[in-house]
Amino acid sequence: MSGRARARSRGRARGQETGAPGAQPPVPKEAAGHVTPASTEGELVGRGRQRTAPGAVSSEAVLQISAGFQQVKLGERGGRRRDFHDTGVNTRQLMEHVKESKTGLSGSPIELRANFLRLLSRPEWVLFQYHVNFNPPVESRRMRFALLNNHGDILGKEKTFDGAILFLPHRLDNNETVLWTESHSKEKIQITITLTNELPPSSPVCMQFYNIIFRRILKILNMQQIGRHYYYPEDPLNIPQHRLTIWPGFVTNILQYEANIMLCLDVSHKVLRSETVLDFMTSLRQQCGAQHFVDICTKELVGVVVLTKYNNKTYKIDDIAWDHTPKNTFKRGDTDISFKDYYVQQYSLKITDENQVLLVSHVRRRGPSGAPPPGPALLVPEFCYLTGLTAKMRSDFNIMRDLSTHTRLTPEQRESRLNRFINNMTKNPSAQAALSTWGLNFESKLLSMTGRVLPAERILQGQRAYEYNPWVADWSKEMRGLPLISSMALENWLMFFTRRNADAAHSLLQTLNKVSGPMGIRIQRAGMIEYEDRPEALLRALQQNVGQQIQMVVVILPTNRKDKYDCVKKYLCVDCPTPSQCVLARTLSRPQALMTIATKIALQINCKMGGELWSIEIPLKHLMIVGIDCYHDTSAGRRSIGALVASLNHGMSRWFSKCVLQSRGQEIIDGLKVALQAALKAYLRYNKTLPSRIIVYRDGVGDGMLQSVVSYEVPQIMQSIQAMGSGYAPKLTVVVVKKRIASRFFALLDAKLGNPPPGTVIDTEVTRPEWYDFFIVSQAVRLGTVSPTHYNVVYDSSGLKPDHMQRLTYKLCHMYYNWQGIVRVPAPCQYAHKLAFLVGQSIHKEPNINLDHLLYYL
Amino acid sequence: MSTFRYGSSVGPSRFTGNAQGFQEEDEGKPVDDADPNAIIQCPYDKNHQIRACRFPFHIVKCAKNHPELARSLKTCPFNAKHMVPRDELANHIAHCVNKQPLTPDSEGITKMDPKFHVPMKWTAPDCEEDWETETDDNAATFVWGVSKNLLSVNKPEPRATNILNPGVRAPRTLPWKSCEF
Repeated sequence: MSGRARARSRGRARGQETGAPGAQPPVPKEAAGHVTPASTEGELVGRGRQRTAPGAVSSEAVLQISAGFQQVKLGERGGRRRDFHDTGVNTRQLMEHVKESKTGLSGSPIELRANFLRLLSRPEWVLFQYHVNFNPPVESRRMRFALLNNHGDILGKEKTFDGAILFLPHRLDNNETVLWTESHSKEKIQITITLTNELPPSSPVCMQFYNIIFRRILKILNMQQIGRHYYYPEDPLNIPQHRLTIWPGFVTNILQYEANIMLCLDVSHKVLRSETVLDFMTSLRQQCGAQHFVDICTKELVGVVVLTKYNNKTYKIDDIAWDHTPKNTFKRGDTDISFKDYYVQQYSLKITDENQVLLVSHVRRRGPSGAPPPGPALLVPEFCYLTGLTAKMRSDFNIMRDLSTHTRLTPEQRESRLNRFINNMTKNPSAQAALSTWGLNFESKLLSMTGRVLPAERILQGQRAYEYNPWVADWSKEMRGLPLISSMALENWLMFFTRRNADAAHSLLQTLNKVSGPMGIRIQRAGMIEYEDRPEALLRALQQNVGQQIQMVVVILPTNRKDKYDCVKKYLCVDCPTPSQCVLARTLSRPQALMTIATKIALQINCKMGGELWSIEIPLKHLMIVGIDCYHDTSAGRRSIGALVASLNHGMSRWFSKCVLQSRGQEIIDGLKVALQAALKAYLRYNKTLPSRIIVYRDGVGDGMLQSVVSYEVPQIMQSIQAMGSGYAPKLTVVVVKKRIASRFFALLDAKLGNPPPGTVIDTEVTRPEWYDFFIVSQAVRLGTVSPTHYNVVYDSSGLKPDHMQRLTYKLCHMYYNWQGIVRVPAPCQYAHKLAFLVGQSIHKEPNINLDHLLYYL
Repeated sequence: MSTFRYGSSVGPSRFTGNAQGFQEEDEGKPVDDADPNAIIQCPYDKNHQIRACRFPFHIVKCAKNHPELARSLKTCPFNAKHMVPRDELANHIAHCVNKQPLTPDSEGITKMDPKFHVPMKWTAPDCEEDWETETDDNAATFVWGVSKNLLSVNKPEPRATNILNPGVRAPRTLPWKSCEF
């Protein structure tokens, strides 16, 4: 399940809780049955308040107060709150050795700019939280807003109200204010507004409050919300040749960072298609003819998300109502109205094609509590714009290149885009007014801070050691002509090719022979087998020729059609365990690049068979590194795959792997125990001892899923360690790795903004106080802005210094054998990702156990 | 708490991999064990029927409401969704649907092929640094159970948020926490 969907359901639960704020909450059943409330526990009224005088405050109770605040959340009007930022997961305080400081020391300092703005407020700033009670109770939230709005003279112009909790920038004269008002039905209603709290600027409730205020400002600046972020519809970038439109926008969040409350602001782009569903249907009908149109159209459109510009909402198409047209009517209130008239009246939009069929979308959002869910929404294709890129567009090189010229921004462009936004915000009087009435303000320049650049690592290759150019972060040149750590002789291997690619196959074979000598790989002549260009023929050729003794199978594929690749991998990973290497004929087509390609293929073949390419110094003994990632593809309806990869030796050059097949779309892994136990047993077999330290890197954790990883997966890891024997107590560290983050860092080099060099570590200012976390920029990019990787140590009993933790993580980014350079995440995560992807995309089954300790999935 | 009923909110409910009712309804169809919408019975409360995709999130939360029951339940090694009472664990392991051989040699079903046994010939040279000597020995050592407790409690830092007279203040306890068994 996606983070968004998960968070949505959490939001729903809260919605029920606020179902009738103001009304007396029902006494919990258990409490009514068994427990008489202790005398110090007063009767709880509403939310966030207790009427009777409290007794002595125990330390336990203080804890629960703040726990309570983390659960009290306020909603924007009509909105539902979601916790995407994993607030309230306090993992740092359980780790004694980082309580004081989590910063490292090594490396040289570097001046950085980060895409953060400080939130400024007066030192004595407080937010006044009131509870609003209606008597007799008012069910409708809309009604409650209206009733409270009648009293603007007392409450002031600026307020934030969610139906029960009211926030004001100033204190009312009395702690309890009683107002009388009249509803539509001439009923007298008493409104009691009671002060419940004065919130300091850093309270968790205030964080939500700031975000709500900031969203208002974005709306004032004419930005529109799509999904979670805001975009400028007035300033679109058009790519007419592909019928695409890009809306520039921003990802924003305001959170408590290490020392300050800051706004994190990053540029984001929304790609829209300037093609309506009606245009799409018309061209589809022309392409495929009326005969198959219904089937093909259903297949193409169902599941697609469309945007209706009149209300700026997105809908997922669930069905097509072939018997409905805009002339049909529906019930609006008490009268019947046709779709045609409705759009004219409501949005002054005229439907031109009266014979188009309508689209059906099952609106998932629930109506008011208790009411039946609203029926499906019928949409007019003419007003529905297609969204997102199709797989076909994604694979189109031209489209992606044209898109990237607009969306891929250099650090300087990015900074100027951010500065322009800051200027807009400070110059806009109504935005400033909205901020200043609440006594808030943002600093008008990006945060400047210092990071550290870790020294380049020495790459060990057998007896030799070398360093690479730290700016390029790539050692393919340095590697040339050096023998590998350990190479596997290719004695008994096969090469499969089609007749058309016979020449390519032979020249690959020759070049492989040429390049393998200096690397120290002995190659015997391969068995050359021709196959017909059909998946069944290829499978038959594999079945007839791949025997027990075959070490390696190389298949040259004529096209990048997935079926043949899947067929090779399925047979050779499950039924007949043999490492295999697929090569696209097109990559062999340029003779001048063949040497480079053959070198890469030779390296890949070698590590798939268990060879070791290079290594780095790891100053820890008996260490096992584990990488976990998962693959899930909800649209294809395939099972999601959890993959675990664990190191088998000290040099981190051999890895064990295991897959867990799970239910569809599940990101949290259920079967970690078996996988990790198998890894520990494999480690024992190779090293004759169990590891004394285990460091787990967990990738693939969505927004807001941190708590589940901490309390569902970490116990599984611990239990599998415990199951290895009662005397076995290794030191365990669990690190959550996150690649998709909004934080960006720019290095100030020669008075110019550029990307920070690989190895830049940031562990101050922009980290979170409640976590043991840090950022590392590990890869080098040539185009655009580099994105840092966020590491969050959620569990650590190892006592390793933060400095060593950071350096070890950076070292591991050097160990991915499919890339002669530094990668974005530690190698085990990249391996796990690769394995999960292979199994999820092609194999759909658990790979053969015999392959478990080879890098066959590269 | 004199009566201890199975399936009540204080006793463990029976584990069911797929919702029994659902299975009976569409008999004949093969059971789709990868269905994210399959209904699973919460082990803590019989009233909680949870969709498979929400189950991991639910039991983390629900365990907080039933701390004693949570201690008495054991997790199946093959699938963390399977939570069974301690004395039934052995029986469950023997029949678990997710059971699989651990390693080639542990179950003897598939013998490890010798062609895949690649010995490790290379050992890394000694490093100049040794981080082991610099570790913080005061760090909490790994003790099973204790550490787990710390994690699940996950105490938030206390914050002084109230500067008001004692008449008005935030709740000390939340309604759902005030009821102890």
